[in-house]
Amino acid sequence: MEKVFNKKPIFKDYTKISKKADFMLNIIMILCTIACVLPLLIVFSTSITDEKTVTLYGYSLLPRKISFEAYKYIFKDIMVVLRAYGVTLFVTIVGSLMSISIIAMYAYPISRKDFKYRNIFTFMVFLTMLFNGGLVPWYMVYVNVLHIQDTIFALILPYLMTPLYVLIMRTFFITSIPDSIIEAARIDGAGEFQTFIRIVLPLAKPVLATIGLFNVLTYWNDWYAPLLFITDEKLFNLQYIMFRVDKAILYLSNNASSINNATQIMANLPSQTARMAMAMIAIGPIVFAYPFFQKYFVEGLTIGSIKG
Amino acid sequence: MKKAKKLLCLALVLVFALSAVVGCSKPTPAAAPAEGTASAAEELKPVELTWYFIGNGQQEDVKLIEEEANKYLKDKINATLKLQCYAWGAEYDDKLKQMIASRQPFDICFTSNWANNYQQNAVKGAFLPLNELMDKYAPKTKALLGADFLSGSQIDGINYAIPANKEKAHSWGFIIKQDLVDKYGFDLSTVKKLEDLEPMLKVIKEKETGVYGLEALDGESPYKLMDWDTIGDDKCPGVLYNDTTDFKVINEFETPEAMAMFKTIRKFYQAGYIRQDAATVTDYNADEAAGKIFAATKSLKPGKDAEMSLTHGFKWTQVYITPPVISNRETTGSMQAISSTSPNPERAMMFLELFNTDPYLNNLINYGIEGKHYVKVSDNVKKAGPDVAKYNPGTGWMFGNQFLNFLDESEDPKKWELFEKFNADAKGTKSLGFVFDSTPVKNEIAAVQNAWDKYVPALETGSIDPEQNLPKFLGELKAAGIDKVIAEKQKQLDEWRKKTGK
Amino acid sequence: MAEIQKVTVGKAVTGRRTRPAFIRELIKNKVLFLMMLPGLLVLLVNNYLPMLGIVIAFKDYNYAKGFWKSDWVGFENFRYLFNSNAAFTITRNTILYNVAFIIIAATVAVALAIIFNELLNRKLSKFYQGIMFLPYFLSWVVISYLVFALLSSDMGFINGILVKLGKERINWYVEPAFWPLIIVLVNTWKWTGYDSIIYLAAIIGFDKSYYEAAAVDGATRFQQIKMITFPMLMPVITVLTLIKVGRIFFTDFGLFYNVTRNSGPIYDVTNVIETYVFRALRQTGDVGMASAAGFYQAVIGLIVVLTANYIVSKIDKENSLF
Repeated sequence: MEKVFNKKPIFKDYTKISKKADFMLNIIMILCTIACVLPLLIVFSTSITDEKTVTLYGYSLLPRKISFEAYKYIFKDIMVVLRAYGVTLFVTIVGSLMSISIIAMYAYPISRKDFKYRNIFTFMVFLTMLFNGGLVPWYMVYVNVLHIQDTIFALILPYLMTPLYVLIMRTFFITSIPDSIIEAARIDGAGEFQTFIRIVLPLAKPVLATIGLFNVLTYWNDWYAPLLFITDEKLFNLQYIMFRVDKAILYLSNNASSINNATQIMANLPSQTARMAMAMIAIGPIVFAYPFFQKYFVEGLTIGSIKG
Repeated sequence: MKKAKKLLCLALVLVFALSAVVGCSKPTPAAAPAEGTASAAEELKPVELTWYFIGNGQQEDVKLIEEEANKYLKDKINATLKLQCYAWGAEYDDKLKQMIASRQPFDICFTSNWANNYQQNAVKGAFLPLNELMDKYAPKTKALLGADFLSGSQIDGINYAIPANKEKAHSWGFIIKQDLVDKYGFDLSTVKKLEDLEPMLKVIKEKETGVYGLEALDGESPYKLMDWDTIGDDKCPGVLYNDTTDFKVINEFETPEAMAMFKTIRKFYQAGYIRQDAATVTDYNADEAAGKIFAATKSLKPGKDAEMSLTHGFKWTQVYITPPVISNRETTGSMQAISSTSPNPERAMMFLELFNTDPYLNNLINYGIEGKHYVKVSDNVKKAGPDVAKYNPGTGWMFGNQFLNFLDESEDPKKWELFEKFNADAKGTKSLGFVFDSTPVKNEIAAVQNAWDKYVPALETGSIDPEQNLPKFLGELKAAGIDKVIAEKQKQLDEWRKKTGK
Repeated sequence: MAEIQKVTVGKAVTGRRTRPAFIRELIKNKVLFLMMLPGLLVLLVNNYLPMLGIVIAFKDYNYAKGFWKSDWVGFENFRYLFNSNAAFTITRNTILYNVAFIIIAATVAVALAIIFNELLNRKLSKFYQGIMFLPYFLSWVVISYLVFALLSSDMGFINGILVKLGKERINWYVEPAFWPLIIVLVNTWKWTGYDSIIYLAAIIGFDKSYYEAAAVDGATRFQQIKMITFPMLMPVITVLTLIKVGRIFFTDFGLFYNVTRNSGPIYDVTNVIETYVFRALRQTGDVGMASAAGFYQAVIGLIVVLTANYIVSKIDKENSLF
């Protein structure tokens, strides 16, 4: 797009905003950026501060007294962290790939205006956003029917069909895939599945990237499935290990008077700096997911050119 | 595009692989069926016992401990043991709730009034009644626990769980930082009630910057010094006076004592003796460990100060305020129940008997393997071994018989004697042995909980003005149906008294 | 040409009139149905099989009696949701916060997406997108620490500034007046980056020839946004809003529990259905009552969303959800 217009510098470029507006917007963006980065810097700075200093003076943007104790504490059990990373990575990659395929294949038919039952099948997905039978029945299906507790599948299966993502994908197929293209493919003698793979998916790259990214984040940030279905500590993922510590602290302080040696137990748990370090470790690799998916945020084919 | 196609194909294969796995997996055969009437003398078939408990999660060396225990148990009761420790907080409660509600088979679980709720589970049929089993397979445990513990944990005369034999009383008081006491020459023998701390708090506030005079937490605040004889859950009004004679259940927040107490706390808060954020602090250990606290209200027992000093690396001292009493809070504070889904309840009971009476087995599970996880210093004193980090569940107080536990060399050698004395000195509360069944008023209690959370933490830390807010709180309790709850408590209590003749 | 093709296909299908409509459709679109099969299976095991469990909401679930044999209790399990004066508060708070969140998502996030698309420097725009995504990665627990770092009475940044300015410290966690704003701000901060990505993906997919045509006609970029981008984005905005409207009785527990540090004095403006239920059942853990709350939320959500969807479909059939 840029190339085309660079050739005609004489005219005012009406497909772009003015330099002045751009400048103003950039200022706003920089302010927002600061608001989003500062908290993360505070988390990082706290994670490399001496524990006692944090208790005495609170959090600060720059560490008052640097100490890497928190990271040492976490990497003391390096195997635990590495294994949790492994579980998280495996589940994220396999889960996201499966999920994006299942969602795309489901969303496509219900986006087709000539598919008679599209509304019923859309509603079937939407209904699951509202109604659920509660935890116990869900648990019973996984444990008594499928027998997948304490397996890696129990971490993948719950998020294969996030209803929100199905509905977003469907909306995109409706708005950005013109019927005429599908029609044209049919005339050329392409089968439904071929049309889907060859024509629809390439056109849907931005939405595939978006939902792919969301899937990756869903799997990466999940602590709920392990809480319910995983007992074997070898299958704990990164988020769950963090979640466990946070919950334990809350619980021990709420029940301090009932638990005999609560003080001792609390003292053995990761300190506030260690918790911040854990947050950093959990965020670490995933921040690179966004730039990775950003690559696919390109206009696919210019639809106009096909029409022409 | 080729790439996308390949990826899609791969994903499809995975999907079908998954559905194949899911479809083919067969239900695991249920554990061995319950034996009809296995008596201890009969030949016992080998069984596996699963035991769920709460702690810091599975210990690294738990397999080794299981192996050792299995060797030992084979000859005794021909059982193997599977230990499963879940973490504090959501993990234990949620996992157990799912497993119990979906009827998973397991044998023994930890239960109490604060985790994996004993009363709720018992009335809903999660646990087996143990009276007969105990008579038959655990006579020694029964004798050792004595009437206080056994009747104190009954529901309608039925024991659904076996309490751990430990200190059975509580006494509220203060934990005070020793170095500050020495520095300013405070005389702690003058401290008989909360107000007696005031002059010291004043000194601390003026002279010690960055030290909070008095720690007040949601649940462990000076308000606890009222030491009501609570009926049912801790967080629901409707209590007895400790010296009651007419057994009238009252709303403790309507009493003048409560108002006076809240006013004192509020005064301390406004004077700056209490941390301004007190009501919202959860990680209290940070302040304590950093030595930012001068005094804190705690539930005391012999050696609590020594235990805390050891943890924090500086000296604490303790001052008892309320007299030691035995209440349902202690007697149902730490128990093991046998699941109604247990395939082998008899064997589970035999195991618990052994665990409560056999020092070797008890210490094996509490401290690990000798020479590895602990080393003996003398007959029943131990110290940390080379592999202590791999097995140190720290849960001695939770199971079995604490009096069998080895002492750590840092502990008072007379710890168990002091405990015995503490237990002997304590008097039972009037309602000891009465367990309130909240089911008939569960809707009211649900609403009361919200009102409680809204006001009590703020009142007991002094964050809000009691004169203004206590009446509001009472109004919300009324709207939530507290009168019905108190009437139900009274009704059940009266029935219980009629039955037991108290 | 295309028209003719369509007609013949249609004829071929209507030719077999002996079969019921669904079977006919199934045969005609067997590939489409096959494509949906994995998704349907997942829905079945994750959602529709467990959905039978809704009966628990109407039962006094007793473990020993089991799932099906427990006694029916009618609406007894629902009573706690209405029997105190908290009922009004939690309903009001839940709805008002959700309305605020929906409006913000449909305005701020959309505006952000448009800005991302308009910035002249592509690289810089991508950088901003990435950065604004960061808050999403922080869990509510970590966010609660950060908010506490700002608002804590003795060590908070904000009180520090107030003291420097010679003003009184504010005890934030006791003052209800500030919290509606704080909650909306925190939620916007956490989610806007995420929400805007959806809109951005849509905008990028738009056919560029429309803009070129408009530019040739001399429309300014602002006019183009108003006349092209916005209308084309409307279906996406509508669908996302409708989805959120369906969830109007559901809230994000962590935002209202962790971020407020469960502070009692501010419950009047922070207590929502999820936190109420959590506190109500913390001690008793009654499965039936928990299930009842979920059922209540879903039924209200369903009524609201069906109404909204009906209104939308009256205005423009294309934009409705189903």
